[in-house]
Amino acid sequence: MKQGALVSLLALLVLAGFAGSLALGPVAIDFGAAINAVFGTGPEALRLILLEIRLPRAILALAIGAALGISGAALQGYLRNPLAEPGVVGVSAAGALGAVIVFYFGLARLFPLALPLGGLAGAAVGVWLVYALAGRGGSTATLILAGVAVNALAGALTALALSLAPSPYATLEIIQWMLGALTDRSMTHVWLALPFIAAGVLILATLARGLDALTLGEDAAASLGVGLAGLRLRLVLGTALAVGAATAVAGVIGFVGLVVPHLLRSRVGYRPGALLLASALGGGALTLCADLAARLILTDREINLGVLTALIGAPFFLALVLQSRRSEP
Amino acid sequence: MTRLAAGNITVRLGARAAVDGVSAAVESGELIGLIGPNGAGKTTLLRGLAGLVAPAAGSVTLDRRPLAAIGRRDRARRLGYLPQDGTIHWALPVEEVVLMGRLPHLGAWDRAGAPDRAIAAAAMAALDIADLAARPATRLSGGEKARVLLARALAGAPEILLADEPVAGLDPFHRLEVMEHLAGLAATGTGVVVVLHDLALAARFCRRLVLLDRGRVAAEGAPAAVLTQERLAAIYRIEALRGRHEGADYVLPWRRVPRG
Repeated sequence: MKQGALVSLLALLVLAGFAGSLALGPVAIDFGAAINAVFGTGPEALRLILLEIRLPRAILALAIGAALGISGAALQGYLRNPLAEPGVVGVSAAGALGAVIVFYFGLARLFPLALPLGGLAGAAVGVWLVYALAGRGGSTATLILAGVAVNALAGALTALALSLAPSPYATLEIIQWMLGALTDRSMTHVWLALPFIAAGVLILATLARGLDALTLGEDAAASLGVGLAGLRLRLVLGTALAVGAATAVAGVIGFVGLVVPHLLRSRVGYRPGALLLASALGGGALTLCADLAARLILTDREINLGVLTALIGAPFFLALVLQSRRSEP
Repeated sequence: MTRLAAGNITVRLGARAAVDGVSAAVESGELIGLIGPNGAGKTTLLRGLAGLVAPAAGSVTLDRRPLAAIGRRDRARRLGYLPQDGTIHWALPVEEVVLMGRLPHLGAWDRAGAPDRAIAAAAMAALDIADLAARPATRLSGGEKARVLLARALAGAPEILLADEPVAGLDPFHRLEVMEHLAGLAATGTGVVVVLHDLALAARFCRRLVLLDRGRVAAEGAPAAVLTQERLAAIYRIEALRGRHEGADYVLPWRRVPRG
């Protein structure tokens, strides 16, 4: 498939998912009523549901999905390993830890930007650790070990925060949020996260050519004029901004960055650079759909989005590990 | 006329000086063989010449300008580098791999256009791999991969090409093929430095050899003058058959020389 056609198709999927996310839920809203509600002639309740509940949720699903999709594609291209993903390599867990620390010390109440900044700082430390442990075209085994190490460290510190939490209510709040969800997010969350996510996605989008060249290894890429130090800096910064901010408002939503690039790779002719934009759109579409499913599967309550993506993504990850074991000597 | 020169450079890998006070130069139209036993510093010297590693002392110059003062893209357009580790990490079509050679010639947001594709196609045709254009680059034999990577380097049309063991793992036919191409490049004005372990090929194709030993230049000059029985024994610890055939010197490693 031509690149343009693929991007158009993915953009259509995103639009459909976005519209579905606005229209579907416990209260069914038809198109005409929605238009009336938004422009002020319909019932007030409908307007509230649309603009205060469903719109922020749809925007966050799209933005977070795009952040996770493009970060997965960028990490895979940079580490030259199809198993790299913010969740698997521990970047999401590190971002979550950053946000938990902010929760724990009540910093978010003093200063709202503390939450995304905490997530960002945690994610930056996570990416840097993974690079230090598994960078330079390390093997799959090294990468997964690095992920295990970073996940374990972030998990242990998060568990410490939980066990020392001041009240059962705080514990519950942290746990609920760690499971990853978009329930009850408001436009405040959108404004907190969206600028950081947008900046991160834009930075990652500039990596396309460097990631293409890295297909031939670091020396060949450098000899083709790619500045490796700058590339690495942009990767760490972009991933930290995108994943850190996403994790700070929605908790850990795993495997989107693994599944989406894998499904799209052959359709962009295996070019790591071309995979970036496609994965951003694909990640947005997948997360919108997954969030819809999380709302609609059970009639009396919601499934956490992070739980749902893990239920789909973990078996997928397992299959990929088995496949890569077979192809490695 | 282009001249790439290392002036008394020392390159450290950690604490060890892998290249220790080496001077070497290549000019347009030359095919220079860089030889020496394992660990002699050939790859490090080549990486230094390519500007991929900064010397701790001395400097590398391109037409008398220090390499460090030349912009990354400009340098990438003028110097081609073919690394020893020829891994291709994703299953891109061969044509896309060859097109990567055009990257230094493209503007920041350009995609490769028709002229770039024509240059890539010509490079593939020259190396007899035109029929592989659509093949996934991860499904190539060793000989095919070596030619694809060489075509990638040729597509950049560099003034100087630095090739690190481009014939490693190839059968005799493809070794000769690659060396004939490098000789052809030199004949049409490109300066070529090629790292070789195969002394027979080095003697047969290179007008000039630079023999490295433990990070220093042990000898430099015409093959017959460099590959003397004494040096082969002292540095490579081998004894070789030597002679002349069709006006060229040949060297055939024959037996090891015991230590001491």
